Amino acid sequence: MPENRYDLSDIVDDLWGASAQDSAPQPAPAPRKMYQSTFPPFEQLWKTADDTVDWTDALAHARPTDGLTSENLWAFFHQHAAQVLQGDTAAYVEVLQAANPLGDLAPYAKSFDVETIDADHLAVRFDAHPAYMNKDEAEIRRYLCAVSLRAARDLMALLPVREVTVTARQDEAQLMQVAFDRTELQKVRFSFIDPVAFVTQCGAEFA
Amino acid sequence: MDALISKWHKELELFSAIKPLIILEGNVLDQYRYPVAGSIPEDELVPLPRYLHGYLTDNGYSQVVFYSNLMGFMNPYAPGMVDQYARLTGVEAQSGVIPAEFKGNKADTAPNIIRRAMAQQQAATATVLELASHYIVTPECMDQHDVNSFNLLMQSALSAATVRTPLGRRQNLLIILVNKLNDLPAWFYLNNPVCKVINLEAPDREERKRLISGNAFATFFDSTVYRTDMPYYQQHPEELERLREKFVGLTEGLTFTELDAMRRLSKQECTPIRDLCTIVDLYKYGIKENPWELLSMDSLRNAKQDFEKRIKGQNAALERTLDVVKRAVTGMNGLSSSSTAKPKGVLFYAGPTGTGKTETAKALAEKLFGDESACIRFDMSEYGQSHSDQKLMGAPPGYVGYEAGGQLTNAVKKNPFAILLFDEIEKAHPSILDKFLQILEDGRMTDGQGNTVYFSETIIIFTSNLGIYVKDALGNRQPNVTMDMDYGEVEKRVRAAIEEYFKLELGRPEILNRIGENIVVFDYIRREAGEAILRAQVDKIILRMEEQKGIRIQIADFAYNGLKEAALFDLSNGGRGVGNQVEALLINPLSRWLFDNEVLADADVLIEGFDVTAKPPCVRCKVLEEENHA
Repeated sequence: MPENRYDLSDIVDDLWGASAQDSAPQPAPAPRKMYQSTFPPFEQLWKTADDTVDWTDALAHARPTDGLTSENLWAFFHQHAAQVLQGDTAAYVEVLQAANPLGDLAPYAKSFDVETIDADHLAVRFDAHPAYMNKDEAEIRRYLCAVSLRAARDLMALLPVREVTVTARQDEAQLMQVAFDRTELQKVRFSFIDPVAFVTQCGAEFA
Repeated sequence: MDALISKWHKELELFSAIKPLIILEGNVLDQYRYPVAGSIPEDELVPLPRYLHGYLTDNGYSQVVFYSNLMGFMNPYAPGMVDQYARLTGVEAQSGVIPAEFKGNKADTAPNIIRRAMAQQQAATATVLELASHYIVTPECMDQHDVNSFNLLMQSALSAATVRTPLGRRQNLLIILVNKLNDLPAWFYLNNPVCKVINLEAPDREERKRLISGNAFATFFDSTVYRTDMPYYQQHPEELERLREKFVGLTEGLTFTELDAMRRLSKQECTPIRDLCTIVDLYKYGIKENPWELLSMDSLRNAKQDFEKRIKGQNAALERTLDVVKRAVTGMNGLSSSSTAKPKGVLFYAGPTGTGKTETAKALAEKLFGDESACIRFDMSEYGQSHSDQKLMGAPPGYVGYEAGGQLTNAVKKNPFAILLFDEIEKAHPSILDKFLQILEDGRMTDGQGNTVYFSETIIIFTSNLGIYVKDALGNRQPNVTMDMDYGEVEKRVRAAIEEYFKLELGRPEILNRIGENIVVFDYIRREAGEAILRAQVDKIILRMEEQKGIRIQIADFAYNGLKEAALFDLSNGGRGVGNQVEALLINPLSRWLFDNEVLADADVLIEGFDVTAKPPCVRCKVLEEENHA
């Protein structure tokens, strides 16, 4: 593991300025996300995702090439690029811990638990937020699908994995499970989809 | 990796120490790879101004400012330098900018400020004039203010001071960036002892190779693709090397900016490593599947039989043509040269008229691209004047027709996968042949609007009647070849005459060299081929009459033999001559007979004989249906 030369808490403090933008329940003090500064409103949840981290550029260049990423953050990516591009799962874990890519989804789940299965595959479990669970079934499904899709997209934006399996739970009981494939997601225009229809099409299993 | 320093950078390094006025000309809007780590990381692609800022500050210049007539003096990379530059030259900077007009010789105009900066000895100063092609309307009609401005710049260079810096002595520098040298008045740089002109060209092979080597290679791919594909290539480095070499060959003539755009395109399309080279087609032509790659081996294997159905009696010519196609398909066309950007093939069809030269080109287009219209024909007799190149390549800015572009460049832009047929090339003005030199050598051409058109996916065919007639000592045209000569003799004489034309008459042996061994001599249409052409044409007429009018025509053997003797009596005009005879002896008399006898549809007609000596020729026919009814 390379020595981490950057104080990640400084980076996070520099970049984080979170504020909830809709009527979503206010989160408990959530782990902060490294490079996204706001909580997405629910209606945008499946339509948007984090910017993709360009690991190959980060490998080749010591300084930002996109004119958008801060020097500190780029330096962190540059330091980890070689291992991430070799599919080193320990590096994945380190990046996940540092970047906390699902931090901005805190208003929508009690917790997220990301597991690295292998270089190609991540699994994420989330505990459904009670505020969204006392609604009718259609709305609950919409909520579960929206969060699943967004979580998978955010993880794929951060790490070069091909598949993300998302499991939604409530009180240890499984509510839904679905596996997303990167190749399939790359073909989709998310602004135009219905999250429930799309996630169902991806083979979601609902309890 | 060792530092790879471009030729222009070496020149800049050398001459900036001895000449205070440097003109950088050419590819000034491109990005450049910074060769050694300094204020810019090694191998990073940066715009030319940033490159110069990095180079100059790394080499001891404490004041580097950029001037453009729109913005004035500024430095987006180190704004503080402008304030100090202002102090040195006795002017005021406002928010990191010194506003100044270019025109005139007043104290606050840019040339005067530059003159003061060049003359001072407090700090090593470099002033870079950006977009200098646009400071004046045209060098040919400058007003006195323009002349004064350039005069002042020249004086600045002549009186440039030397400054002591921590890195040694440095001469104050004036660097001018222009697209074309003739955007500046000639008296400014010609015979100017303190001026050095450095040409900026598109990246050479080594530069392009560097751009796709080491860690930079990874940047051509999406992270997931790279992570997944790379382990295979780490075990098979020789395959990776081949891939890189091919990419480097295919990108000849492209600028750094274009290569960078290609890199981003590849990433955006999630191109697998093995398909790296397809990104060149995608970038150049907007397509992923190259029609050349889609050609099936089976269809090419049977190509000769297919061609023989259309072109009769030209075995040798067809063989030579197919050799070129096979070479293109197997990717061996660039093996003998350093460039893979050349056209897929070049053919020079020579031979008597009406022997199937144009028809072969059309058949080739249909075979390769599935459509005869992929054969784009240019009648070179229309390009006989010296200015005709503008019709082909497009008029330069300011000239009539500039907006329309060039006929050739437009056609290739629209359809880059094509056969380009330049008919009767000897009738084009010799100056146009110069344009072909570039196409044959580099496979690209820049039109009047500055767009580069690529010919690397085309086959170029020239046709010519050179060598059929030669001039005798008195200047009279004499046949050089005749029908009674065998093919070997015809080929030898025609080839010799073509060589003589290019080497001695035109004085352009270099054009002949580009055509190389690709001269294909078509044989005369001989009796056997003539019979086959006649049969094919008659069958076609019979088929058409039946399909369109329901008139079923039969020709008695005796009558057909009569037609054959008459049609093939003189084969000196080739297949076209046979066609003319068929029209005169069969089509015209038959249509006259059908009209006169009111046989206009649905009938069986027997042609019993032809009277070819009548004026006009006529046919003897009868309607079989009436006979049957009787």
